Amino acid sequence: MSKIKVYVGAIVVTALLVPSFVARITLAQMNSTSYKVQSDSVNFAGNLSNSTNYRIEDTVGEIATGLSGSTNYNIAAGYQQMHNVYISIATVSDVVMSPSIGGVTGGTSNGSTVVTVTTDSPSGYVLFIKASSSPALIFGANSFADYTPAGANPDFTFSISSSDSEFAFSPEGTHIVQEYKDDGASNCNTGSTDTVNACWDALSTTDKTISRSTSSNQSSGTATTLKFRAQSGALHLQPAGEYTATTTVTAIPL
Amino acid sequence: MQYFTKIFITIALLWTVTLVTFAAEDQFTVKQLIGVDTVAPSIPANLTATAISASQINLSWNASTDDVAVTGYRVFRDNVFVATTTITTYSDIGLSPSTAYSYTVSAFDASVNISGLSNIATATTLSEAITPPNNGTTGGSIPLLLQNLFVETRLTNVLLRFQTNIYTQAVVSFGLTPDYELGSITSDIFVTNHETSITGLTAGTLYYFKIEITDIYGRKLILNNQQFWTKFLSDKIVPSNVTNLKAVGDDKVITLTWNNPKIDFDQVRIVKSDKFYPKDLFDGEVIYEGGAEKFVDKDVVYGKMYYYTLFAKDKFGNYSSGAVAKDKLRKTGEIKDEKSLFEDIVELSANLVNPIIRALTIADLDFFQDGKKLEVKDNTVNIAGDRELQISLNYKKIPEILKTIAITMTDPQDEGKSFSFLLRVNKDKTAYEATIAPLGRNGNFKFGVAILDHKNQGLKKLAGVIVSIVPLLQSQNPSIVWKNIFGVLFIILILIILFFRKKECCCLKN
Repeated sequence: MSKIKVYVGAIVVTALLVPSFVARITLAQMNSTSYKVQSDSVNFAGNLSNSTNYRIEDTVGEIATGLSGSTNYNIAAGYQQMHNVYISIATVSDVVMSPSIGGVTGGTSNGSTVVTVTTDSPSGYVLFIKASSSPALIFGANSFADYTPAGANPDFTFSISSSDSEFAFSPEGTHIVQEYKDDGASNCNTGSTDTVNACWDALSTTDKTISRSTSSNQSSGTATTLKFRAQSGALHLQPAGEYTATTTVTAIPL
Repeated sequence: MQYFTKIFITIALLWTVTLVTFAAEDQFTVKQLIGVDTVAPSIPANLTATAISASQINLSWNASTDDVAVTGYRVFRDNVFVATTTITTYSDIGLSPSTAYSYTVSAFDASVNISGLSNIATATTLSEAITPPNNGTTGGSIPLLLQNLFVETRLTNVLLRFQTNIYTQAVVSFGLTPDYELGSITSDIFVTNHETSITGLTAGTLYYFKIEITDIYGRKLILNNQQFWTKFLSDKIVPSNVTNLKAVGDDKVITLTWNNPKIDFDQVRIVKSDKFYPKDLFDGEVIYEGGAEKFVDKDVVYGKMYYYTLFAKDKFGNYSSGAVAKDKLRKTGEIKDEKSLFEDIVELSANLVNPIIRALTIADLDFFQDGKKLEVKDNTVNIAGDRELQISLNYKKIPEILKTIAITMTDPQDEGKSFSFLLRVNKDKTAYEATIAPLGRNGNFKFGVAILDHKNQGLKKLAGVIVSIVPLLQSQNPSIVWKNIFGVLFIILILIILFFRKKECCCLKN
């Protein structure tokens, strides 16, 4: 009889305490003003509990566990896994700028690629870009200078001196950050327009934020087009060669 | 108690809060070529092949594009490279009759980037035996036409372009005479747009040429007796004056007639004044410019003497010194009083001229032919009558005062006929010069030099003789030369016969 009382008492206490502990943990998370609760996995006892009438699954919801994968998506299988935040970038194609620029005569060349970010994070994601070198576009000791905007904001219109050669990028898409939006006329970092081939900026070896969203975009993802432009001025002599800018894009879920 | 402890510890150990986040990253490259073209031209499109004859197939295709520029095209016949061309057509010749050939074309640029091959175009050459359409019966044959002849002359070569209405071969023959003795150029390709260039010519020379075209049926058409002048070297030599200039006034108009120079001539400018002979191109009213040899001046009134100077111009814009004439309206029956050039202007005296001018003689004049200075002896100079004659007076021999220097030459066969021309200072200001066209005949041409000193109102006159001898064998074409020789011999023979007949008569009398 005493043993039964102990077991009952333990069950009662546990029943009373667990919610409070759970609540405390839950409250601890929910109290954060910066983060949303993504998922909790409170693991109860791992054994089956028995009663007369019910067979209880202690590991709640975990029927098949582990991650299934594809190129772009990881399928969260199982309750515990479904609560992982997921983000992916579709493979970004390399860019071959066109046309070839005359080293003596100068010219302008353009190219582009698409970065598609997919996330199930209800808070969205942020996308960064950076170059591996400074200047970004190099061939041995020769390079195109990183683009220098006229002011603090990206340049609405690409413009360099005839005695220079410079390399710039411009993101386009529905999730681009305010810095690369424009007023449709001549100014960037203002307005809500995303003018094509506008708002040129320089790559940097430190991450630059180019896109951000506040919601999940699974399963289609969202594309950000990266435009690149290289220009050698008519009075500039650019040594011949194949110049390369190694660029990294990073997407982080929020 | 132990049980509760175990439970709580177990619960504590089993509590897990799983919160997993991922970051995604990818790296790519951006490449830019500088000064290196690795992009091939686009593939030539719409290649067509057309059989023209038993041995020729013409190809045509659309031009390719390139990021820099297309340099040329490579032509393949039956997958074998045959030719390179810079245009979008090609004539494949030397083929076998009644044979099918397949063609492809590729484009390349200066960096030797080569495009892919075009579509295949196939054609079969015509059979050897070709008969004219409808065998030439009435209403059937397409007439053979040569049209749009274009001749572009240069210093030592000429470009000839012409078109035929059907595909033909062409032979261009040329020479210094209508015998086309210098050679010919043959095109063995059947085309409709013909172009050829004749090189190795002499500047400033008249050439004759003919064009003979032949179509695939063997029909021929000849365009004969065509001419062109090669361009003259950029010269500063003034052309000859016009000759035989006359001004004849009647009761309404004054009619000018003259003969233009035969060589180094473009057009003549007539300048008119009612005060004096226009001494240069702008010293009066320009009343005519062109290549005619007659002009009727209707803008004249009674009582005025009109002075005309005709300046001959060559292709380089050099003007002659000017041939002069004067006249006025005359009533019917009124005879022109042929006074000298200046004597009707004012009473002039030789004593009033500048002393330097007064001291001049014929020996102070220089006479040149073909750049060679001729000897003047006893106021007489012998010239070749088939050459131009330059008459010159050294600039330093005459003072820089307002003056007019004119020479009048009289026809030896009719002393009532004369023509006058001015001596004008040359561009280098080294001499007063005039050029006379070849006189073209034998004779003693009296000439007078009149120097009008405007300042002192004095007139200096000189007189001399130009003996013109036309070299017999050089002045005429060979056939005429031989005719002349036979003519002379015939006359000599007649004279001999007459001589001996006379002698015979004398003997008989005796």
